Amino acid sequence: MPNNKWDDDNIENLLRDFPTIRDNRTKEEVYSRLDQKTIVKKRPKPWLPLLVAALAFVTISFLVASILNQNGIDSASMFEMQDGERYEDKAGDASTSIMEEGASEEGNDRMQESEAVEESAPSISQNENSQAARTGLYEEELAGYTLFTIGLTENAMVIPVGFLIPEEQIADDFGQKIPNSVDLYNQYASQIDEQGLGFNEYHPYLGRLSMENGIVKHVLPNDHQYDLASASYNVYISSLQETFNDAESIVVQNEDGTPANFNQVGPLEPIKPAVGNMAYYAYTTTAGETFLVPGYNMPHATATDAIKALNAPPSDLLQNTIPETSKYAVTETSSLVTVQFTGQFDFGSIEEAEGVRMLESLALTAKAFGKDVQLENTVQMEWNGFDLSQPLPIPVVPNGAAWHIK
Amino acid sequence: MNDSVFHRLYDEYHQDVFQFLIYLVKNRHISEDLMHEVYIRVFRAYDRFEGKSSEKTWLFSIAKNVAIDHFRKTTVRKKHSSEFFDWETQQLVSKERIPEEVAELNEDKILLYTTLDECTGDQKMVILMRFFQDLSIAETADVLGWTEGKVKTTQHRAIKSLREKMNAKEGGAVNAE
Repeated sequence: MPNNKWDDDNIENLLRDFPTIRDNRTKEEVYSRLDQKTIVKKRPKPWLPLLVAALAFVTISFLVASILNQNGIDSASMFEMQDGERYEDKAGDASTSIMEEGASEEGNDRMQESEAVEESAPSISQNENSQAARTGLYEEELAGYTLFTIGLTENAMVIPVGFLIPEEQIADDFGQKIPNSVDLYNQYASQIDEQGLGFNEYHPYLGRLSMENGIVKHVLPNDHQYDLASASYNVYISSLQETFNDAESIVVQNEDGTPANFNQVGPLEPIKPAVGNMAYYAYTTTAGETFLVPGYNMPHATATDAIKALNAPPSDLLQNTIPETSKYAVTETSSLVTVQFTGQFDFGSIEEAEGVRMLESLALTAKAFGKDVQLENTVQMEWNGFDLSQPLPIPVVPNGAAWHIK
Repeated sequence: MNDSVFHRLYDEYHQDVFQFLIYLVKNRHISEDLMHEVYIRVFRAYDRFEGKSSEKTWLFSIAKNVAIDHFRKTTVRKKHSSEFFDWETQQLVSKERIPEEVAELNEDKILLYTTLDECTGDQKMVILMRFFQDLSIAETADVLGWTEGKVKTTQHRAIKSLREKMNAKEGGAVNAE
């Protein structure tokens, strides 16, 4: 008997004839669950120090930044946490504020409150300066803080994020000692609620980390899984590079002191921390937050090549930071890269966040080659706190967050 | 975002989105959880919704992302492994039993529904949207962020794949008799 009972029409007709399946809950039940979550989540997790609550601001900050952009208002990627319980929106924009706990009116902005609380962010306030839309951390912002950088991961992508830890907190945790990147990592990495921030649970690394004479040593247990697949290996290496970028080199060893053996590459050579010669693209996480990340494993020979590559997405995961329609010429000297737009570039033609991202990715890309970058032929000579008649300021870290703990 | 928006979205789209989720993940409780997550993400992004797509396709695209995240999390993934989950090429198979409503259908429909699990993720997604949710080609393209051509091609391949698999199973059953 021929096996041709099924033909296309037959299948399509049957597919169209499946029954409707309904959610039997009432609208009120669905809504009350959303509302309940708000109440439950208002209580901070007992094991989370205020530090971690503050870290949650990364997610919130990008969210609010995007919302504010919609309203044409400068937005912030850096927020200040006043204390563990209370927040106020310094920008005073009611439509974007996260309401103070317990003070929000019933039914008013409930969803936004729900969202804020869900992120374990008891309250946030917006940085009110004119450079608020910037996502990077800049040198002038470091005064009074210690920078803790870490390569967080999502979808096998490593996203470098910097947190500014107040000196008082550092003094409490380390006394007189000036912590290096390994000290900071060992102290804080295990407390980061990566999933809560929209990243994959990855840190802390398995094994032991130490630093001596500028060399980071990572001793791995035998059953580590960092070489489970090439993606795992690449994430491991890139995250080490981003997290310990103050080291001269990173060595990965077995318990017996021999170089760790990785399936993909064999015994690991010492790793150079700095991520250089790469272009910085935009990466949007599943949670919808956009960060700047280097195009790992896609080095360019020159800064010119890297910057020319910024107006086309290099992969499905990364997005270009310069509009694809923009045409520009790039020239460079030993210290400066000049980007000259063919037609006048108008920052008013793109969203504010996109404009800032473009400038920061240009600065970071030039920095990856040890150079400054300057734009030519823009409609604006000054835009959103950037003096476009001068080389662009260079972020210390592509993506930043801050916390203040009383 | 306020309460009235929730009520409107619920009235207009809740049951459709819920149906999409339950046909995908098979389990009512999981679908309720995912529906909750859909609302959370909708509220997060509502003020950024630019109206470039319709509200309906926007909601479905969020539901699709929520569902893919669910499959990503339930796919065997050890804590320190970050292998990329490619939903388009991998199968979106829920280990749950088929929903009660499907279990009551005739054998052909049950066979067809379970055979869908053997299609690739992109094919399954297109079948659910086009036939179960009755979305147009353009709407499906909008939800998935594809071209209409890709939707048509994927749908064609999905039906072909289902036909071949169903006939093979039917043949196997006949031969076994």
